[in-house]
Amino acid sequence: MADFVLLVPLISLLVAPFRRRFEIAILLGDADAKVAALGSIALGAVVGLVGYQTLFVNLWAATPGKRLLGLRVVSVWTGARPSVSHSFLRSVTWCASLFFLLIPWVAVLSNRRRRPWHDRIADTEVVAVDPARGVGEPDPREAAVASSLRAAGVFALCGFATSVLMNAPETGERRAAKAAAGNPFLCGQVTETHEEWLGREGTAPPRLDVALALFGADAVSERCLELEADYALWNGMASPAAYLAKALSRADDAENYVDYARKACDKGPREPACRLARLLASGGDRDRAPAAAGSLGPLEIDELLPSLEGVAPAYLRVYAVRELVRGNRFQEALSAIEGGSPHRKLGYFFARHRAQALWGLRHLNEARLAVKSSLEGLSVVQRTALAGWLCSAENATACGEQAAASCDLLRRAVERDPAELEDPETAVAWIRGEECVAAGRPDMEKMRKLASGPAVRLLLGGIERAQAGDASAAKRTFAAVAGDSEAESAFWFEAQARLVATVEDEGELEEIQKRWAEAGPVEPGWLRLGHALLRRSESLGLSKRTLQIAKLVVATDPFDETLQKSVVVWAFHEGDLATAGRALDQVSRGRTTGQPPAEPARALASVAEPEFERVAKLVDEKRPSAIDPPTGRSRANPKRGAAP
Amino acid sequence: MIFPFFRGILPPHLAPVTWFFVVVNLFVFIVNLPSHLASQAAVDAYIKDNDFVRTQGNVFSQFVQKNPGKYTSLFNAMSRNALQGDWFSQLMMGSYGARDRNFVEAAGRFQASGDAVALARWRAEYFDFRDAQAASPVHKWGLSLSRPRWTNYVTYQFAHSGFQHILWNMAFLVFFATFLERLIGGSLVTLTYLGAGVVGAVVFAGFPGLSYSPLIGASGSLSGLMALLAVRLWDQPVRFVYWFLPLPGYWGFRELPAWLIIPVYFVPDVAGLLTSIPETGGVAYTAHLGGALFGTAVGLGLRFGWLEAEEPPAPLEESF
Repeated sequence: MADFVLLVPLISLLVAPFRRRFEIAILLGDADAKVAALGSIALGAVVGLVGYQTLFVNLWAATPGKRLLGLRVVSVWTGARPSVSHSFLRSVTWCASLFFLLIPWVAVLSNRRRRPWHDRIADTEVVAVDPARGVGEPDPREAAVASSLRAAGVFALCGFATSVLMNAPETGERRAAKAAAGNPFLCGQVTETHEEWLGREGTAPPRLDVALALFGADAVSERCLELEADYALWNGMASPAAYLAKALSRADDAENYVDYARKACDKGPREPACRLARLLASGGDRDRAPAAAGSLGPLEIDELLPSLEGVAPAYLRVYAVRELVRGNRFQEALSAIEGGSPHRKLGYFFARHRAQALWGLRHLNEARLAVKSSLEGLSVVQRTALAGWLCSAENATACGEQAAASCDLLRRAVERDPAELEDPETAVAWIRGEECVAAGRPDMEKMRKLASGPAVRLLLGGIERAQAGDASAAKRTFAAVAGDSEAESAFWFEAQARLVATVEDEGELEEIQKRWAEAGPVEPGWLRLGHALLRRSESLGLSKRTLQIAKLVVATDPFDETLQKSVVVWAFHEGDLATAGRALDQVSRGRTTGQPPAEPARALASVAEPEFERVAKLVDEKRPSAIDPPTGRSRANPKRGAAP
Repeated sequence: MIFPFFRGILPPHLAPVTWFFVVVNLFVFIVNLPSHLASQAAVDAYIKDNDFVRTQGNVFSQFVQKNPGKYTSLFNAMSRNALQGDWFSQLMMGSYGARDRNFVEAAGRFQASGDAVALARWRAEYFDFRDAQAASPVHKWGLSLSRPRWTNYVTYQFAHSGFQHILWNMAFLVFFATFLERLIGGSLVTLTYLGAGVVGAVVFAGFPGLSYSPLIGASGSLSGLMALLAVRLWDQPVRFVYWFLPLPGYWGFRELPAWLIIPVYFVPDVAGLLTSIPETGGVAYTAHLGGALFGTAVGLGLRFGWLEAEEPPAPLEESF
């Protein structure tokens, strides 16, 4: 032990050059050099320690530290100084203890003859020169300290091993990234897409345009976009697109966003990047632009659309599609999607938005076909997500034959890889799909085997109780999911939709309705809960409330012809002729957009076609005098979907 | 754990010179404490702002790339990494830039090109940051390679950068110097304290390093006193205190030869010097070793009779 006083400085001197190399490797982020330097340090330390010990133990029967303390190492058989081989064996095992955090040394406190494993292995013993100074057998206090030290050592060893194991893959990843890309610090996904684009078409848009397009399609993270923006800005490639990318990568910091977005408009308001900044400022998508961005001079999507025809950057098209689908302008979204040849990495984004637009237009069969035909080029995760979207869209209103067929895609994907269920949206879509396929009596045992995560298990438990006929227990279970503030919103919507079906009291219904309206239609599952509310409120005979909910639902889903017709009739009976007129306009507009709805599957059967025809006539008659001319853009064009 | 104990801490009436130095050090520290803390808080506010430091890192990296000959290959490589987008390198270069003389002097005029928004923000804050850094008493008392004043060769020995810094230095001072004062007298202690400090500073100034970070602390002087003691007594036993476990028999005092001080305290300094990357700074090993050199010279002088130790004011009760 006393040798440490001498050894630590000597060994640190020996390995100093390697430590220096190690520090330089850390500063330069060079993983290979770091490992090599660490290895040299360990090797240098071991060689130094073993050499020092072997030499002194064999020649002097003691290391200098032991000599100073009046101790000797002797062979247990001869009582003389140990042979070279025994000295060497003792030194090697002594060193090995270092790699076990000195736990074996603790035996000095507990072994009867105070011989740790290196002494026992090498048949040696440490004795005092002056027998009077020998310490004798350990007392119980020492043994107690020994066991606590051992426990602490084992604990620390486990922690150390865990941290080494957990950090190891990171090094490997960084090395792989380095091998793949010329610049290891940039975003790998952008590099990959850019190179593929270049390889396929011979030319590719600038790197930053690719990054912006991928970010618009939610295919890369904010950090990734910021890396790309910083690289461009600090390497002589400052451009409006780079400033915009920097703004978008920090959309949560309003002041920062506005400064950078303004800079993107330095070269004029018609610059593509500036146009996008202004479009986002007016779009109301708070994930992409803070409210303060309004000062940039908003740009309406209509002003952007004509420029998409030319050589506009890919990202403009991505954001235009985003905004058009958000605004229920499905026809225009479809033509924006058709206009470009999206890259494979953007495939999921375009496939999903195309299917969403077709679905919104109620071209259901085309939407199904679009989903099925695009699955081929997607990754497994994207395929499952797209199948999940289709299944939940099918099931948002009712479960029919087509819905069962569509959900089969998702079921197969989940059975292949149950890990996909970790995505809440996919999990909820899957549960609904299983129910739909099995006509309300799914195979619970199989589902429980596949499912993971507490919220999914709770939902399944509720369904099982409902199947068993225990309505109140089912209700309690769903309420537990809905009441869990930590649960993902997809689970909240699903649990509420199931709770609504059993609500008897208008106050309770109103409470759920309020929270539903506040959540807003961007949340997945919103439409599903809307329809559930609608069904319940109608069956409870709450006509005013039914109309209220229906108005919000059709604002998000204007091409739902069946519901629009119902709104005409309900609004007329409530005396709300303005709403009835608007809904009627939408019904006729929907008819001119193309083919009639392929499958008007609807649980709301309360409004019969003859009743609609009768009311429609009445509304039309009263229109010129009784209805005010429409005011405001969003009112004049119901396709744009007045937000609730 | 092993620590030279000698006779423990001798009281002021037995070692007045040593205690005078302790008082001066504490006095300087306490007087400077308010302005030191204020400057530290101001600088910290900037250092904690990652955007500020990263921008500064990018600017410094461009500065290094424009003057590659003035910087080591490490800084050249790190600046390349920073400009390639490595956040870690940007942060590191940002803080190294604040301690580089060339950069600190030229940063205000340097035409960096890059993220115009970040640059405008950084320029607006940079001068405040630099002034806050320069306002620290560390810069007034410490020996800075960027503007060395001869008075700083002495004043730096009495300034410390924080509680821990002064606590350790004073602990070593009272253990070593009170004992030494009884051995060789107050005037030689004074000579060694000041002389080792000056020589340490001269050696420090002769090596490359962080050119804007000032050298402070009594460690150069202390190294001189420690080396003097080791050389003067050499193989005479002095008392060390050791501590392995809080059990009887596992801690206590032991007489060991005085030369042990050299492997225990100076070999690590040599190892540290070999390990340290001069441009990233830290402990001033060069100053320690320079001080030790002076202390060794005094110790040898005493051993060989070129210097004469004073008679202690009162005879010591026991021999060493």
